[in-house]
Amino acid sequence: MTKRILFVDDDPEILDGLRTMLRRRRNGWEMEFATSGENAVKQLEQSPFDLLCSDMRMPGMDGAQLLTVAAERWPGTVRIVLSGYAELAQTVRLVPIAHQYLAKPCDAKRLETTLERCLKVQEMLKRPDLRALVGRVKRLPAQPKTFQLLCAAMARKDTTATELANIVASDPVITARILQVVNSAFFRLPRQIGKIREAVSYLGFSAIRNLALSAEVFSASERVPAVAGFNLDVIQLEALKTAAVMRALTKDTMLVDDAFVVGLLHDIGLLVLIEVCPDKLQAAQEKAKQGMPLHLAERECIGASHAEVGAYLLALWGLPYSIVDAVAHQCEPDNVEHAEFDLLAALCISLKMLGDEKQLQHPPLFSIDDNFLKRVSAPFSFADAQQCARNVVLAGEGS
Amino acid sequence: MTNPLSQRPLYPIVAVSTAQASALPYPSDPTDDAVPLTMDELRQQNRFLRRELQLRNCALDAASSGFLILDMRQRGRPIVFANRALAQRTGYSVQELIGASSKILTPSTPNGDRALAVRDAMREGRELSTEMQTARKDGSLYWTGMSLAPVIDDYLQVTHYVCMSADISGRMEDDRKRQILQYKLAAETKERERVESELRLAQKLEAIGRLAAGIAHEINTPIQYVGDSVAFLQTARDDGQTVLNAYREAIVALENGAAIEDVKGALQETEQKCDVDFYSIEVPKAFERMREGVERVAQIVRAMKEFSHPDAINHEPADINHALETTLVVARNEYKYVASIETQLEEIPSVACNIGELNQVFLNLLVNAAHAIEETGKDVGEGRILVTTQLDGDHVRISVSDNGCGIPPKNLEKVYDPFFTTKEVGKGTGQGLAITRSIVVDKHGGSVEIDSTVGVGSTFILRLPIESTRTEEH
Repeated sequence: MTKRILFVDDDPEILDGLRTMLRRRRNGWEMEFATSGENAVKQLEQSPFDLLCSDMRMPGMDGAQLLTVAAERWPGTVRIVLSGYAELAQTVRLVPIAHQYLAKPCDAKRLETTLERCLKVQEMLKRPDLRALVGRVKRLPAQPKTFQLLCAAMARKDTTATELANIVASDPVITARILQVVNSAFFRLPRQIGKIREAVSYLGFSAIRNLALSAEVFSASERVPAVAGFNLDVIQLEALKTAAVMRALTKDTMLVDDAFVVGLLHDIGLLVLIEVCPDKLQAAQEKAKQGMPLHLAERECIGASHAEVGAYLLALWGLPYSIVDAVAHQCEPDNVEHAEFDLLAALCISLKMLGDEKQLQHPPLFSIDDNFLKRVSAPFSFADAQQCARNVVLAGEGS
Repeated sequence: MTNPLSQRPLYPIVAVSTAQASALPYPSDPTDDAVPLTMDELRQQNRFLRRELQLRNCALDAASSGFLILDMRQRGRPIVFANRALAQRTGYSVQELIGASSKILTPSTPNGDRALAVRDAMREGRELSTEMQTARKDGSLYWTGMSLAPVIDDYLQVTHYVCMSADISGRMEDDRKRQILQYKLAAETKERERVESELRLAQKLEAIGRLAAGIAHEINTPIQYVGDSVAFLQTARDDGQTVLNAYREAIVALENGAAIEDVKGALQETEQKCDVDFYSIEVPKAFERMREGVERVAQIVRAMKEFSHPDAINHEPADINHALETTLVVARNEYKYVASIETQLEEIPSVACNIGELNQVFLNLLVNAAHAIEETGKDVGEGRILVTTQLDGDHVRISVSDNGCGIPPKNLEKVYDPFFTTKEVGKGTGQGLAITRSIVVDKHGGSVEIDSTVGVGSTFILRLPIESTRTEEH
């Protein structure tokens, strides 16, 4: 099925460059181009698009305004920013209105891969079976309250660390959980953090928002009855270990905040399935024991894997597509193109390393070697990654 | 009031031996007289001498200056006379002073060169006026202004030294205070100059920092489409190769007797599949786009290099119009989303100036103009910045006008104050116009004028002398 994509940039040369470069995708993508935000709205009004890829700074209606309008009027359209402004603060604030952020200059492969993968996520969101499954979730919040408040606060320009801390502090359960995670051995901070305000200053806005989300998820799942083989405590511990390895692997990169939350939430789909269809999950578990990969067993018994279900829920919550995409493809990384070291690559490597260390109930079945690391230009070697995982395991045993 | 005559003891000075006394240059020196005196005469003379001596002692005691006589012939050069003023000032009694070494009046910390000068003068029998520190009995010090004079006998031998002295501590203290004040003033002036130059640098760095983000964007844009075009041309080449291969195969097929219609059909299909028509239109355009993009990057880099002009200290003739154009390229990202630029640059002679500093001034004015327009929320189509240059007598007149928010009269006098700003935090430190004025007025002998109406806009007019009138800085 052809996808309709609209590119917006005030520089016609950029549009010409994209138009000719992406010409080779003409069989799959139907592309249109607009030189201003106003024109883009007009084109959107004429016929819907699957994806909108816009510049940020433009005369008149700028990218932020355009994406806000698009989010309200065409919520089904994937929104991607392709901007020459790489300021981190802006990236963070864009999260609520854009699904993905790309910095100019962005090479052809990266651009194509990102668009492709975003369209895949969007495709997944259209699946009625997933919608039905996730729609039955009661315990997990339909909209995580604290997370939403934090997102809204961060979207404002003048938000202070104290305001964010106050939002978190208004929920004592979440506060306690965040501090517990932050001070756990896995986080390996040089000192204890006693107050949320401190945590905000120490870890940054995005990290706190992400931690709040995972805290909400796990505190909501606390009273979920255990399904054989799926103990909440075990899931939580594995999540924490994965998060710690991911954080270590992505340190010094822009991914580090998102990587941590991907680690914490990569198995959120299991929480959904435990709640919604415990019997079917148990059946899948039985098949997995006989040697069938868990995600395939889940597909057979339930119709969707925990990875897909989890990704669907995260997308509903408005998380960036890079996070959704990583969770969705964690069991089958070979099904998508890899252009760079991203969250999916980091998650797959972390899971593989922890699996090799016998830390996971369901170790991943894909193979990862030095070649894979080279292919995604990972900023570390295979041995480094192994060491990272071992350090985390040791730290966990020490605590 | 006590009679000083009755109190003062007879000093050893008069009790010296006849031989020694003979050295004293008294007017009625007995040795002058060859005729031996009778006993009565002697008694009378003695009385006379005593009275005269008492009168002198009395006079010396009445003086407010210190008076001291040292005997240069005795070991240790003892004090043989000290007046009351000196005794009072030093805290010793006259009796304590008499016979003591003059060393009791010199401080334990030596006076250095001055003490050496005194010693040399005494050795050579010279007079000397000097200032030095003197010690009191309790060890405290005070400044003394003194004049030393030798007493020379008939045989041209220095027998005594007379020392007249006055306490000049008050004056010295004043001098010292004045010196400290002068030193402080110099230090503060220096500090102020340092802070000013640091502020200028800081403002320049701020401007360059802000520019850097804009310039990155300006460069990222062409890099993006040049990169995309390269990717496109790679695909085009691959497809071109496929078409070429198809034609080669077609020749072989024709040689082998294939039907021309079949070959033609196959080729047409390949051409269509390979998008040949699209390429024949787009490939030349892609090359043009790449050439243009590379030129755009080069232009920006060139302008940036010129803008950040290696900080010339000397004023050199420079082309103001060219500098303005350079600044417009560098600052494009600052204004392109809010205003269109119009330039009216007339032919003007070179101006002796520090062009690096003036670039900073031009940038400040452009950024201010852009911010003023942004403030009004005007659409980019309405925002307008006009930059003009013209010859004005022996000056060059440069103006930057905007149709922005304007400056309220109450702020007009404050705009040059350092740190005065109406911009939101992060948009400016309030240094721009202070630095602008400092550069134009103080460093180039020019002038800055503002013509502003709230709601209509502002015009900044600079006048720069064509010949440098800048006074050389030391």
